[in-house]
Amino acid sequence: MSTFAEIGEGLERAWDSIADGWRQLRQRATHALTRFKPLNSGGKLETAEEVFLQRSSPWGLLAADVSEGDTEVDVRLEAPGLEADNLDIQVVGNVLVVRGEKKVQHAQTEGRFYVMECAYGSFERAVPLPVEVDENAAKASYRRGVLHIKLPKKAATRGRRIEVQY
Amino acid sequence: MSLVRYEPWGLLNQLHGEIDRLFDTRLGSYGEDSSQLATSDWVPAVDIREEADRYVIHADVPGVDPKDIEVHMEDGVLSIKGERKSESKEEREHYKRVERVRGSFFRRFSMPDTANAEAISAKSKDGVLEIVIPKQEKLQPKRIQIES
Repeated sequence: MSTFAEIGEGLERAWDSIADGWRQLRQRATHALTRFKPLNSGGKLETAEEVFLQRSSPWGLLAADVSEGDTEVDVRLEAPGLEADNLDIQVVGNVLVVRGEKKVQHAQTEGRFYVMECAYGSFERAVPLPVEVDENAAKASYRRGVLHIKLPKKAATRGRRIEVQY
Repeated sequence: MSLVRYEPWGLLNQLHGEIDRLFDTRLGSYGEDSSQLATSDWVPAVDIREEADRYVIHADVPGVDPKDIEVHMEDGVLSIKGERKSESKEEREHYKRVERVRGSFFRRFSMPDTANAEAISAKSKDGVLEIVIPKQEKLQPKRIQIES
């Protein structure tokens, strides 16, 4: 085999491994990677909080786990530092939509920043659900920065055991 | 009218930075501790700022029990490590979507000489860890009055 063919094959293999890594990254992160918007964008920056919001990271990772039990769908969403009262949770079709805002305290904007990685501002995260759920019977709790939402399945989508008659 | 700097690639660069950080293992750059970094499963996002009399660090650690977090300062290097354990005992096969990373995290920062290692305090609320490191009193800048 000529050297050129070997190089070509090596490149092809390298490309395949990059493409595979990229596919995995996309699967894992595309949904969790969430845009955080400062509330007052485009306007003049007046307060220290507004300046802070513009400088802070515009992307945050809100990772979600969805598990399906016999009667309900369980969603856990990592959303640190929020006020649970201000969360807006909705079910639109087969998608769970969580809207919220990570607020900045004035004391947090003081001093000189060396590292700014945390995201602040308002966000919207959509989580696809595996089955239809009854949003009126949903329950949510917030603990240690994780939002836990329990969504009962709609009666029609619950598995039904059909008796075979003789 | 306010002037805004034209940065057409700003958003893309920021995204790139975030992804870099996510997959950042920085092998070798910490010498003997690289083994610890290699075994860490995720990296929390942090804010670090300096105030007149102290340093304040905020780290996003959602779903981590405060008991499982260890904050440690040695030779001017502050290290934060801990572990996110699974909350439910359900079987993995019931999961339809798994984005959250379980397991250990580890990060370390070298602090300036003014940091007072003896007086560090840390607290955790709603998945945000706050570490306060006061500066040593004698090293705080003092304004000297000029006599006339």
